[in-house]
Amino acid sequence: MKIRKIIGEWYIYILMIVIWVIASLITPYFRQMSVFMTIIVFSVPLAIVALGQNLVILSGRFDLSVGSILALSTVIASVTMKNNLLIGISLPLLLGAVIGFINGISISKFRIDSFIMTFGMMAVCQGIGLLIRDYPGGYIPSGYINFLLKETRHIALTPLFILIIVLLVGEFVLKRTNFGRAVYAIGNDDVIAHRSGINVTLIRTAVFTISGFTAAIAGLFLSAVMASGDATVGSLYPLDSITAVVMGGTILAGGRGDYKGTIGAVLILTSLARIFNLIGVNIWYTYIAKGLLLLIIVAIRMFGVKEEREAVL
Amino acid sequence: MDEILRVEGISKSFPGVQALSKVNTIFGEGEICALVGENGAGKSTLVYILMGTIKPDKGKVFINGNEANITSVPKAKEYGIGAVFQDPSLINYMSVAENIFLGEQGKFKNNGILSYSKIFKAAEKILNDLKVEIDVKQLACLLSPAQRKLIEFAKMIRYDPKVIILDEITAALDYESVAKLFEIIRNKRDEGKTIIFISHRLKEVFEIADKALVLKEGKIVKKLEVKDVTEEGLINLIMGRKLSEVFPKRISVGGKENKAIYSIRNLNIKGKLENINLDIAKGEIVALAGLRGHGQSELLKAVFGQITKNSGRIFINNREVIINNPVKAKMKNIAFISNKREDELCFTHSIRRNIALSSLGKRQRAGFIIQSKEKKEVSDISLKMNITAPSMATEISNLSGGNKQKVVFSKWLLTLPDLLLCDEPAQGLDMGAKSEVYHILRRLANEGRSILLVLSDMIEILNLPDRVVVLREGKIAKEFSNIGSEDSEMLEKKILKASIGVT
Repeated sequence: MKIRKIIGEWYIYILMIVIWVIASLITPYFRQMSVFMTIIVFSVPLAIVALGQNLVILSGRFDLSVGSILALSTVIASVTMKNNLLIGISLPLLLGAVIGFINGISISKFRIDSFIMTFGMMAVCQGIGLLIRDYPGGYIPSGYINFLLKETRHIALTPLFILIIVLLVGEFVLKRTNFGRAVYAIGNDDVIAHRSGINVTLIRTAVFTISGFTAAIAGLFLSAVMASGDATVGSLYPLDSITAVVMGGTILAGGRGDYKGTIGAVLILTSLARIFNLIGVNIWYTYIAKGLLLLIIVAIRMFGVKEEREAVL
Repeated sequence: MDEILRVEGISKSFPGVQALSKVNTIFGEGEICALVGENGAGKSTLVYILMGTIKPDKGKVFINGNEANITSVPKAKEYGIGAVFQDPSLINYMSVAENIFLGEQGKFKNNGILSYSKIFKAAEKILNDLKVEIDVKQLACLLSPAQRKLIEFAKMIRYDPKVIILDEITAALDYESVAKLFEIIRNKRDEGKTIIFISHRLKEVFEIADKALVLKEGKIVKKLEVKDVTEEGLINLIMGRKLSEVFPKRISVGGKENKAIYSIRNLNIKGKLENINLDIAKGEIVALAGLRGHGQSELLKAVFGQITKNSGRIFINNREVIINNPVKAKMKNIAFISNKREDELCFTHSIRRNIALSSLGKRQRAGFIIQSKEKKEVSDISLKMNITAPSMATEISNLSGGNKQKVVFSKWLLTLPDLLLCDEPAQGLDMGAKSEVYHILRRLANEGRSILLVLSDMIEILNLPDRVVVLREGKIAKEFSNIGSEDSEMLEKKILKASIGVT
């Protein structure tokens, strides 16, 4: 019984290890440290975006605007960093938080559906990004890039460190703070939360503000990876982040899930692209693999839920 | 009397529970048999087996003497068994007629196109036969709870079942609607149908049932003719204890002598409440009675700030307070337990999380939860409330109704309320759990809290509160203080008269 519970909680990591083992059996290149590091580096932005998305989904909503906030963040950074690094970092963060706040207040106070609101915001931010920079480019200081991505003995310490910090912060906020509890309660049912004396409007607004903020952080990291700004770089992030959150065990309707599962799913998603690349399969197969994996995992989980229901009856 | 339905040696166990063990009984033609027993006594399991949603471990079901293999709800329909359950089963945005013929629209085609006039006509005929006057073109979401039950009944009766199972269908209805429903049920019995009736209101059992089958812990205690037993006798059978033990003793508080702590002045809500003035003293239990839907629940919600008042002031200890949302109500130490447990509990969350939810702010350091304090407070209160569960990490959905209600109480008690608002605190619970809730309420009052209840069950109204306020059409119709000292039968009549507005 206890083993089953552990497997139920950590299945995504077991799956990750299985995928890694199979991949390293198929291709010797996968056994190299550099490949592992690439996976880590590309996991960081998705993991950070998924942290905000995870909060939003746990609260029972979606955020489709994360991708274009992230892209806008790289664009702003690529414009402003050449003058002043501090402004180049703080301006995108501030902007991300403000956009998230606008999302949040419109959704919580003015009752606009989150899907529509963030969908609209996605287009607006994309447009602003393209107006500022319609081709990838701009200047990102090499000192900044080095700080984030420098490898010592093939190990990129900073990304690894960021990933671990993000994991710990995410889990801590969800499990050990009043805010986290409130998010779960709202996701379960906002009427119950309201009746329990929780300020639903405030928490909901905060959740979207955080999501905008984390998307902007991810953008800052990605601008270092690309060494430029790109207004179209975020197109896959809304779906990838939602995929990661759901694959990691968070219920799409909200109220149930955690962040460690999401990180596991992020690692799997970024591994797939690497593996397909290494074994020389057409990169478009990655999409098919991602989609199928998501469906299979959710199907398996629903199977488990069904058993639980019967036991309750 | 001819045998219609017979069950033989039915047993069913769930993990950790023997829900039914070797149940044998016979249901005859043209009889209304009430299934009575506490929650978890096995009533629902028996019903679900007859409806084919649960497969028994052992035992057989016979219909008209032939063994029936009921494996699904459609199969049950084929065998002539129909049921109406407590939970709503109508589709909100479909008309009454479409709801009645859901799944059989194909029968009403005109040249391959669905003919609404045919459906409406057929539905009208069914409702006319039942002597029910409801517009069949109306959308189901516009129906009152009582009308919904009637439509669900019509939907079931359309199959012309021989055996009719009614599981707690009166739980959300007022006296008038129940009377109407009972008339229809009696007509069906006189047509020779077998009716299996489940209700937690014993008065209804006496009103309508011919026989009572008493279940306890999955076994049949006794099957008896209802006319051969008194209410008290039946209660004793159901739970093995006496009525005087069900309700706690009132300790005289004397409403008038005690000073009012909470005062409501000139409260108005357009179309719901008119000019309400009410005082509640420390340690007093006040019950709002009257027919359902005459403003009782709205009054509680208005005091809690959950719905907006048009005018009206609330005073605590002679000082005016502004309460326009639940957050402010909580800050003024007011708690509200609603009549829907699904509005109180996050079902997929653990007991601990649910209990902690309303009082999160009381155990924090800069927004971080102090885990040890939370664990201690939650386990202390659950011990005090006598919650039975494997652990505090158990999911709410695994608890019985009584335990769920105790979790709701625990959750609100951790906010340390001075005024407790409860809408039907014991609704849908079995006798044992009801009794526990009554004792908890009395204990809280004795600790000095003020309690304002909404009650509709007459036994509760007569035995639980210190004072009864009858609301009619949103106004206070009459007040009865010191009800403990009056003759209960006289009082019951007076309360009923005030409820319907006869003097």
